[in-house]
Amino acid sequence: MPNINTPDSGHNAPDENSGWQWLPYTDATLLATLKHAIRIIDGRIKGFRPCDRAFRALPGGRSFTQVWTDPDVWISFDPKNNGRDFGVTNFVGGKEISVTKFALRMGHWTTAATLVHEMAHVNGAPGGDSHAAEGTLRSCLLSGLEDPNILGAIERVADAARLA
Amino acid sequence: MQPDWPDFYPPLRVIVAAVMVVGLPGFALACRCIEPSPAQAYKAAQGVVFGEVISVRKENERGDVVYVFEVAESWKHNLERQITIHSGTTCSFNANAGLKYVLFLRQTKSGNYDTGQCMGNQSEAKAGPTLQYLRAMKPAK
Repeated sequence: MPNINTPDSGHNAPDENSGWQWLPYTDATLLATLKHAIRIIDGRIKGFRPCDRAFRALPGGRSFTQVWTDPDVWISFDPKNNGRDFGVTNFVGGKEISVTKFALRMGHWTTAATLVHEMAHVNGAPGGDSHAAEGTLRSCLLSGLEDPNILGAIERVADAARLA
Repeated sequence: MQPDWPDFYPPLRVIVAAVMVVGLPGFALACRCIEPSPAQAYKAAQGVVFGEVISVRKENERGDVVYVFEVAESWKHNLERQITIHSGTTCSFNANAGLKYVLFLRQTKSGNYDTGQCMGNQSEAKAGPTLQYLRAMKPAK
């Protein structure tokens, strides 16, 4: 799983860029939500073959499991709570993710979907008008959260597919 | 399994339900964010400009870009005729030289301008309603 930027982590996070910040997690409630989202991904999405396949098709060529277990990926906190912004990666192919307070307040499912989206950028999914990053949610058991205006939950096919 | 809703902020469920019914201007799929309405974008921005992108310069190997922008109209603040605008991260706004845009700007502590996705930016071709909204307001110049 990725590293979490906390005050004790000693992580040298990126400077603010275009209004986005990569800050340590200092709020216990928000950190708990992030850890819950990470547990969902660790338990249900990591190792899920369709998700791994979708990620291998991205420019970085790595499976979701490979990206998720990359020891150089960090998750920081952005205090935006504007009802619009969920998360960011420092650049396409970068390893510095930041999740907004808004996404965390929406809960662990929204946070999990945001993390999968940003992992796609870590794996080279382009920005701009590309749908590649968000499109991975369909293959990663989070299709109900592909559009955050639609509430959803992880599909029940997870366990069946794991056994396939 | 039900979606989680933090107990410490129950009104969030109502707000999102309302959003689902009313709808939003759009969801930007490359950056995980929701495009604001013109009114929301105007309120959040520190400056708004309409004009032409004169040039696009790649600022670094990470894909940050700097636009030289010729201002035809501005709102909220008087801006110089030509300004530079930075955009970076996976949420950077992609614009093409020679085309006109409405751009909603944030001013950094150092006085520079930046912009990005989900700030309300639009190309001239799609900016009709936004320009109509802006032109109904008092221009900065």
